[in-house]
Amino acid sequence: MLFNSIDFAVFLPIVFILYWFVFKTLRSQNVLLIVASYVFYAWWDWRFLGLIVASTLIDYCIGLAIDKEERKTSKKLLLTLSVSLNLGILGFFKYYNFFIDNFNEAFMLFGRVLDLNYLNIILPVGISFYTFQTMSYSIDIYREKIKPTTNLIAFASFVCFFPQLVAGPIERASSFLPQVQKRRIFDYSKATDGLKQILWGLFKKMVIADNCAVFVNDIFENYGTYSGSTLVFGAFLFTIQIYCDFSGYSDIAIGVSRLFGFNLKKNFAFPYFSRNIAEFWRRWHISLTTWFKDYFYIPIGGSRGSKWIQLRNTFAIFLVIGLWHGAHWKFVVYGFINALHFVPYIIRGKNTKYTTLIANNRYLPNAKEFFGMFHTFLFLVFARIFFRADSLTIAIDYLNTIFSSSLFTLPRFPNMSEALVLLILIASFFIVEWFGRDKEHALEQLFSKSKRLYRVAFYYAIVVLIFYFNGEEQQFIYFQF
Amino acid sequence: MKKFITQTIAFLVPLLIIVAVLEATIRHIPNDYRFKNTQIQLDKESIKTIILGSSHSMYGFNPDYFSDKAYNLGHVSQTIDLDYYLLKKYIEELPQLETVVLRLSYTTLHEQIETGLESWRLKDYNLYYDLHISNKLKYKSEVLSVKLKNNVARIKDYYLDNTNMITVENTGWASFDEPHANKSIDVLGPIAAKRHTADDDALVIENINHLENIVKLCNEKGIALLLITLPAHQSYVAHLDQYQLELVISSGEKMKSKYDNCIYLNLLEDPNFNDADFYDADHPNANGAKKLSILVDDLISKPLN
Repeated sequence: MLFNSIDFAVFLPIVFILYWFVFKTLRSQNVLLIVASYVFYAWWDWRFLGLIVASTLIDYCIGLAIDKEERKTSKKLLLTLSVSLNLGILGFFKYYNFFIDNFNEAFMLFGRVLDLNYLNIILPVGISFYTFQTMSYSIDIYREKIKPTTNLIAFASFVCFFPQLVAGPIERASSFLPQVQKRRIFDYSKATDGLKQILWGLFKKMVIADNCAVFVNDIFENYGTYSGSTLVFGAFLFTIQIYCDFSGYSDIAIGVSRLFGFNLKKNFAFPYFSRNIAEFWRRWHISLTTWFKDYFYIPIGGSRGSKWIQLRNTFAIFLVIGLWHGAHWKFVVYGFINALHFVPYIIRGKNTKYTTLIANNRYLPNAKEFFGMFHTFLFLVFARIFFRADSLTIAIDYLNTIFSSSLFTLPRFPNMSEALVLLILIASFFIVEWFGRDKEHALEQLFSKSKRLYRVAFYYAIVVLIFYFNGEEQQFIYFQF
Repeated sequence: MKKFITQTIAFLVPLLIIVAVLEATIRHIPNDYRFKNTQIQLDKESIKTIILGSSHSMYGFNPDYFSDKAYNLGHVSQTIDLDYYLLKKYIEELPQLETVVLRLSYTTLHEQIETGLESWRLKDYNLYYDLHISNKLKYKSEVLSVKLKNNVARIKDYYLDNTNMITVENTGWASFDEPHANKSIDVLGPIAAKRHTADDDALVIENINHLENIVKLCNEKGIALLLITLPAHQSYVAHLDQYQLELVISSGEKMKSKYDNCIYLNLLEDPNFNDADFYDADHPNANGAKKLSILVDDLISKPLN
């Protein structure tokens, strides 16, 4: 079920009413959340529910066993089993054909024909998210950071909680399980703030991202027929699209969770207001980057040791993050060029330079901050060509066309007037985000001190814009990961 | 909680009222779907041929050139699943029906409206043909399935500018206002071919089933079925994927050999059609439609096989 569908608009109030008015005990509310989450998931494809159930049972049992076991080697063995099973499921569904393809190619290089068969595998929605969530549970128990829960219903609710099941934020048991196991009390301000965040998420997705998609799809599919300047425009719009699509999803997920009394991790902290690439990655898809930091980067040494070790580890984490996005070399290259951009900052020790809010207590950034933001954004526009193009070859072709003489012509494509309207919407969107950059989400405090009439009029205006510009229901980009 | 519920309802009620008013206003606007449904009912006692298919059929077959009473039930982006549901509905309502003409295009086996960008058109079949194809709530409503921007434009066109919203003739046929599209056909051909080439075969089996169901249904009722691959411009044909094309042609041939009531005609590269017969690379203009309709009429006037 998509958040931006009519189905969800019917589903959400039904679950909300049942949750607060019918199922009033903690246990029954958690059971309702599991049932609702399974229905939510089955709306896409019921056949893959078994995988979620399997992943839940595996880590529930292994978590208890790790805690019970006293010998370190047995604990380690159990953890290896959990990680292997989770990565095994993920690897089979997500990377099987990728590896077969590369094995076949590699053997061809040595003059041997291996000819391993491909499988017609459907990638289950959300698999990269919930397997990471269950895996971190077992790892945290092994590291004795948390105690396992004996309550299977609570654990299942943690794994399948519908707002974040298919595209995150990737939650940690340490912060989410206590919320599942504690009675929730309805909080008016939390719920209204949740609604505001949902509204903003829908605006980002349906008005900005889906309308960018129309141009992006056309330009990337027919890149051979467009000028270099038009291709830059396409890449620019994709950079906006992917942010509004994914952070829009996260906003809706967090907002919906707040309606049910839960707090989810912040997943995006206005990343396009970052002054360098390091700051960007601290603000982009936070739940994933912190996951890799805690369970991959730090265990391999993190930023301890020499510059060379730091560089090695930085490249390692970015290559893995790239590959997490999909079984394709283009994602590996995307990770690699991000890591490459990190190099000067690590060498100069400036990768942790910006940890405070940009233009703090000021309306506008200073020249240095502005240049930093512009430079980071421009880098992302070009890097994301690898992310969006259908293949590595197409990405390189796309870049070749950009750097031709046609780069210095005016962009031209059908529906120029619609593009102009879209640019105005994007500019307005960034203004709202800029003034809310120190908050949890852009609408949190906007008009909070104004008269109720103005506030309500503003919300109605957003609703009208959503209805006015919404197109065909577009799947969220991160569903494919 | 009470305050939250009250305020949420208070916020939503005006919106719901506006949506309801808009819905009623838009449904009142005439459209091709309701028009065709009404027209075919008026002539149902005399119609001997119906034409099904997408824009290729809608623009390609002009019933005025058919010897017997014919009706064009083609619509833009109408896929074979919808052809089947329309046939099921009308085959019972047309007592004189003798022939069904169905386009078998390059895209026919690889597309279904619900999975494509034109899925919003499903509401037209639900609302105006009363076909109950999709259970999705959005396809039961004009407001929920179409951008407000487009709906506002429709309201303006009809209520303020008095624009005629019906784009088809009384026979269901439609023609382009201009004989040719703005761009050169040579440029449009490769673009259309690329757009029509599918990424995978996910829908092929299901669509072949729909095709066979159409043939069987006609067979059971003793109705002749003419499957036809329409002529297209060379710039389009040259860029088609041979595997996808072969699949379409072989499916047509297979139906022809398997069922007595079915004939298959492949006019894709017919030399009788030239540049002057096309609006764009894959749609006949009025001239092409005339040629094609006379050709088909000649064929269905004779006994099959």
